[in-house]
Amino acid sequence: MSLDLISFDDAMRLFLKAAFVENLALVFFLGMCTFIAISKDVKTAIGLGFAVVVVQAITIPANNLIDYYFLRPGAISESVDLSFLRLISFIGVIAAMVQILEMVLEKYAPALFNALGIFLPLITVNCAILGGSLFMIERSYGFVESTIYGVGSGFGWAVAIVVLAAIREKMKYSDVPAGLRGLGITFVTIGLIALGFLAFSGI
Amino acid sequence: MSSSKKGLGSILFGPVFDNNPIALQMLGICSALAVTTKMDKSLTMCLAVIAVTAVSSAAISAIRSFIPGSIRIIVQMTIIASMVIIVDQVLKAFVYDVSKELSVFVGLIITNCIVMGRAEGFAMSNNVRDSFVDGVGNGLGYSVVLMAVAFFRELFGSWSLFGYQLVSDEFKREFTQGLMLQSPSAFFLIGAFIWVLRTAKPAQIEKA
Amino acid sequence: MQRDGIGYIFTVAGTVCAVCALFVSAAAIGLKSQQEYWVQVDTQRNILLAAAADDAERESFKKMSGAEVKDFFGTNFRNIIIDLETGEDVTGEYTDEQKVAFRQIEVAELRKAGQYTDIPPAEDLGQIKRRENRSHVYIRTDSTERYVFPVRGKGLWSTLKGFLALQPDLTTAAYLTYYSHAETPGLGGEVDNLGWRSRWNGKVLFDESGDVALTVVKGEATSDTQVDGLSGATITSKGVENMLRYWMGDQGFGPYLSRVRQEKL
Repeated sequence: MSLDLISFDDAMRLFLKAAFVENLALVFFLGMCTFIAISKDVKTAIGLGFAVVVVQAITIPANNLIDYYFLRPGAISESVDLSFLRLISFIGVIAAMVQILEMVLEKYAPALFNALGIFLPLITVNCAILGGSLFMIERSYGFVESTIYGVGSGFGWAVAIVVLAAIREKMKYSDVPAGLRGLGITFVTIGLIALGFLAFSGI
Repeated sequence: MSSSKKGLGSILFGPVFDNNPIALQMLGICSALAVTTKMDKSLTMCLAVIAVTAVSSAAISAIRSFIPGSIRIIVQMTIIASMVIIVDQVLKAFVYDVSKELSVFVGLIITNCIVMGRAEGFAMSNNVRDSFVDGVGNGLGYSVVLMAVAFFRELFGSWSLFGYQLVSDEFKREFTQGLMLQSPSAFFLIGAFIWVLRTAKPAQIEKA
Repeated sequence: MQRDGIGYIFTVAGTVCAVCALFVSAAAIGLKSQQEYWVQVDTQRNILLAAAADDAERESFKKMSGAEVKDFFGTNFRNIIIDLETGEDVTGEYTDEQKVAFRQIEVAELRKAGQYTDIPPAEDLGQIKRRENRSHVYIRTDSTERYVFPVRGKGLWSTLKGFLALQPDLTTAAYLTYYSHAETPGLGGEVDNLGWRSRWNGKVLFDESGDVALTVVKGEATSDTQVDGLSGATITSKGVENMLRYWMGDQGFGPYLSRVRQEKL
């Protein structure tokens, strides 16, 4: 079984690491396209952030199971190694999961669907999601660890985008040099936030 | 169709100077910046992206008249993903050390918005040759920004270029700017890059 | 057939999948041997780095091409497989090909074959949960004699994997290298620091009765059985100490070590 229980200590450590020390957006630059496009106001940012947490928490453990039972070397039989199919299977699983989530939400939680609905399709092509699954493989997490890593990394991404959106809301009233307006100053701001997040690596 | 009027040269170099996908549309930087701490790493990544955009654009263009509208995106995705896997396997077989350092970022070319964007925006409506050239052009545009960022990060972060150390060990110990190897520096450099570019081409300045 | 009919859509989807599958599988299968070659070179290079006589030689190993690494490893190293519990050399049970394919670090693969032992939490110093029943030992046999042991264990954030090289007396350390870890750069990540690695040379790992005596201390080491800790990285330093205590102890390579020491007398 891929079910390796881990101690509470280790679980917390993994969560903190995934959310802050190795923040997907600020340290690994993942999900930048949506990160910049959808961070103009806080309310939308919270919606997208929440959607990312949910999708990460579902897809990373799901991909973990798929990898454990089908793709890893020796999973099907001793001599079969399907690990080269990881990329394409993961992206398929992500697309399918997002689609299913969308349908389930629409049927059973229309309010939540209205809040998250527009973000879900965007998430399929968000590199943070695929990146999360690939990191899970690279660091050979078990099932429990994958779940924690999924929630943690999604949470970290959400925190980052909400912080950025809050700053950008205020910045609307600032007098920015012409060439830096819009994208330029946004990058500088992200850099400053990332600088702040660097402090977490010391804990 | 616009491509028939446009020469190959402008398809190739347009995305590098006038309409750079990273600097103007901010596409495809997701997977890009994390590999810019060293120039050889970045160069490998650039070649991988050029290969993927060019070949997948050409392949999609070749079968564009057969693809049913309803499954268009998933067909494009499949072709791109297959191409990325092939590139990843080739890298692992021939430049193992660099591919180990690139780790997950080669795989992330799949979700690189440039590749998808060119497939949907150009290859679906142009012929094979133009699509291939357009893919190379956009890959080059991406490479220019990536290599520029990598140049500064490697130069000031480890005082070397392509792994070749330029200064004495003593100088390196005293003046190395470790922050250049951390993520914030890449964001600052991109910000500065956009600033320079937009000052040179005022038409690109966003309205406040 | 109609362009948007169900049948047509399935035909196109199926054809695209088949063609892509063909290319991808061809690439994966065609390049496999080449990839495995580099994985081997990489492992062997790491072993060479651990077994190098001094920093100058280590530098030359780093610059070697793949073929040179394989050649040097092939002529100057003996690659044996031992039973950890008894310390016995069981290399005879394997063909040369199996010997190369035998990998001890990927525990996931050993689980299936039942070739591992669960470690009781109280004894699990390295926090690795289970260890393989059999492991490689690499012996450098030319003028610089070295015994290289694969070690792994938990640091602060990650599992550190590496090689520990011992002097021919099997009591004194020569070098410690890690090839895979994700500790904090600048703090725990300093296990990569060449200066720190070199400090392992000449450290005495065992006391006279053969028990592990090594400690990683905060600040300056004052005796031969102490190694300087990494500043600001208490947990990583402790992790390094615990992992070596485990792997050099009775649960790890201890039985093999005492067996070889006996033979050498």
